[in-house]
Amino acid sequence: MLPQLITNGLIAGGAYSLIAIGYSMIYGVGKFINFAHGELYMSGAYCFYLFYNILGWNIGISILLAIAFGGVLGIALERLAYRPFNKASRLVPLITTIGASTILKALVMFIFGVQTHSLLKGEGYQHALSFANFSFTPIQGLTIVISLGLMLSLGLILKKTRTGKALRATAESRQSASYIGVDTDRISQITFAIGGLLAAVAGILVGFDQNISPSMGILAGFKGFTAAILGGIGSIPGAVVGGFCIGLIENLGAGYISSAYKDSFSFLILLLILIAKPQGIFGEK
Amino acid sequence: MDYLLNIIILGGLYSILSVSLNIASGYAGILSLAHAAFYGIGAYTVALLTVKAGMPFWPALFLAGIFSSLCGCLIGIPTLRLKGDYLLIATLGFGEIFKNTIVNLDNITEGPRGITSIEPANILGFQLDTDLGFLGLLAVFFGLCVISSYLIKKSPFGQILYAISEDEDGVAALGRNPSVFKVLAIVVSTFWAGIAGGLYAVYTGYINPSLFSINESIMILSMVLFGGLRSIRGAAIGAFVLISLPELLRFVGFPEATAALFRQMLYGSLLIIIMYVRPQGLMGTVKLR
Repeated sequence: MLPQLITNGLIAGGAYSLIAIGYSMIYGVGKFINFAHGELYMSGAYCFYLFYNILGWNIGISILLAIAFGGVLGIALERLAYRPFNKASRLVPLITTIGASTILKALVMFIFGVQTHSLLKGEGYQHALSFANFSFTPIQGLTIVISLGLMLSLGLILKKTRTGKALRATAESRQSASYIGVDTDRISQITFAIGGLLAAVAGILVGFDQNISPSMGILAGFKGFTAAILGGIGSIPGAVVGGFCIGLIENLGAGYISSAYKDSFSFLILLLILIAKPQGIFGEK
Repeated sequence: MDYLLNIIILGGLYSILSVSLNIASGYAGILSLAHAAFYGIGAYTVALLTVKAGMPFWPALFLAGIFSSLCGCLIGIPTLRLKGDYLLIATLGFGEIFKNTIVNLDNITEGPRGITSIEPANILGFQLDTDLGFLGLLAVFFGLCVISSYLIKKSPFGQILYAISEDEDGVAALGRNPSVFKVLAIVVSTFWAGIAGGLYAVYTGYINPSLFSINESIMILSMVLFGGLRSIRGAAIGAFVLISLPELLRFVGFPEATAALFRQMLYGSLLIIIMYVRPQGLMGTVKLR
C-alpha cells in the first residue's frame, strides 16, 4: 500500500505546489494573502471545459487558451482587488479578494451549474500504467512532470532574466526596488499573471484526472496556501517542498489513519504550523 | 405576510450573528471566518440534545451557548498569537474541520443528511410553533445580545479591547494581559453565535452541515464590515440589508437557486465596493489595520 500512497501523494503534491508557488510569489511581492487564488485554479479548469467540452474546440488550443485566461484573470484581479489598496493595511486586499473569490464562484455556478463535470470522457487517458505495487494514469504522470518542469523554468526565469531579478528585488523591498527604477506596478501585474497561469495549469491537470466542480477551488486553494506556509511563505523552493509534503501527508494520513478525514489533515497541519513555527521551513522570521 | 415574516426572522438571526461577531472582530480586532461554525455548533447541540437525548429546549439552548464558547476557547487560545491575515486563514481552517467532522460523525450527526424533526421551542408548556411566536422569542434574544454588546462597549472591559485592537503590546506594557481579554471577547462572541444556532434549529426543525459553510462565515463577516467595525447598529443593519436585498430578486420572478447565487455575488461585490468607497463601513469609525 505504501508505494501507491506515495505515488498518490506526489501526484496531488504536484498540483498543490503549482498553487502554492502562486500564493508565495503574490505574497512575496504584494505582502498579502490572495484569497481568490483557488478560484483562479477553478476558473482555469472551467475555461477548458467551456472551450473543449461545450464549444468543441481543439484540445491543444483549449488548453492554451484556458491557461492564458488564468493569466488574464490574475491581471484583472491585480487591477481591481489589489492595486487600489496596495498602500492600505494588508487586510484590505485580503478582504477584497475574498469578495472576488465569492463572485467568481457564484458566477461559475450560475453559468455552468453546481453539479460536477468531467473533462475527458472515456478518451483513453484514464488507462492506468501498472508497476510492481503501484499504478498511475498517464495524466497523473504528466501532472508530476509538467509541474516539476514549470517549477524549474520559473526558477530559471527568476534567477536569470531582468524581469525575474526585478521581481525578486520588489519582493525584497518594494520601495527600494522603485528607487532603482523598477516599475513595481508592472512587476506585481506580472506576478499575478504568473500565479494565474500556474493555478490554471494545476486546475486543468487536476480536472483531467478528477471531475471539476465550482467548489474545487476553495479546498485546493486552502491546501496550496498551507503548502506555501509550511515551506515558508515568499519562498519558491519552500512552496514546492511544502506542496509535495502536503500531498504526501494527506495521502498517507488517508491510507493509515482515516480517509474520511483526508481534508482535515491539511487544516490541522496549517493550525499546527501557524501556532508552532509561523515562518515555515524555509521562511525568514 | 408569512414570507415577509420569514425574512424578518432570518434578518434577526443574522443580526445576532453579526452583532456578536462584532464583539470579537470590531472591539478586539479578532477577524474570524469561523463564526458560521460556532453557529453550527449551537444548532447541532440543540438538535442532538433535544432529538436524540430528549432534553427540554431551554437547558439545551443554554448548553448550546456554553458549548460554542468552549469550542471558541479551543480555537481561540492556541491562535492568540496570530494576527490579521494569518488569523483569518486559521479560523477558516477551523470552519472546514468543523464541517468535515459533522459530515463524518455519521452515526451521531446523521452526516450530510442532517437532523430532522427538531421540536419547536416552548415556554412553560406553550409550543412556539408559529412564526409570530418564534419572532417574539427571537426578539428577546436579539435584545439581550444587543444589550450585552452595548454594555461591553461602554465598560472598561470594552475600552481595553479597543486598546488591544489598536496596540496589543502597549496594553501589555500597561500591565494588562491582552490574552485574557481577547479570550473573554471570544467567549461572549461565540456564546451568542451558539444561541443563534440553537434558535435556528428549533425555527426550521431541520439542519444539515452545508448550512454552516464558509460561505456563511464570509457573509457574516461581510455584514460586520459593511455595517462598520465596532458599530452595533451597523452590524444589525448590515445583516438586514444582506438578507433582504437578494429577496427582491424573487419578487421579480427569479427562482430561489438564482437568488442564492445572487446573494453571494452581492456580498462579494459589497466587500470590494465598501473597501473602495468607505473602508470603515457604513457606520464604522475605524479602518482595518
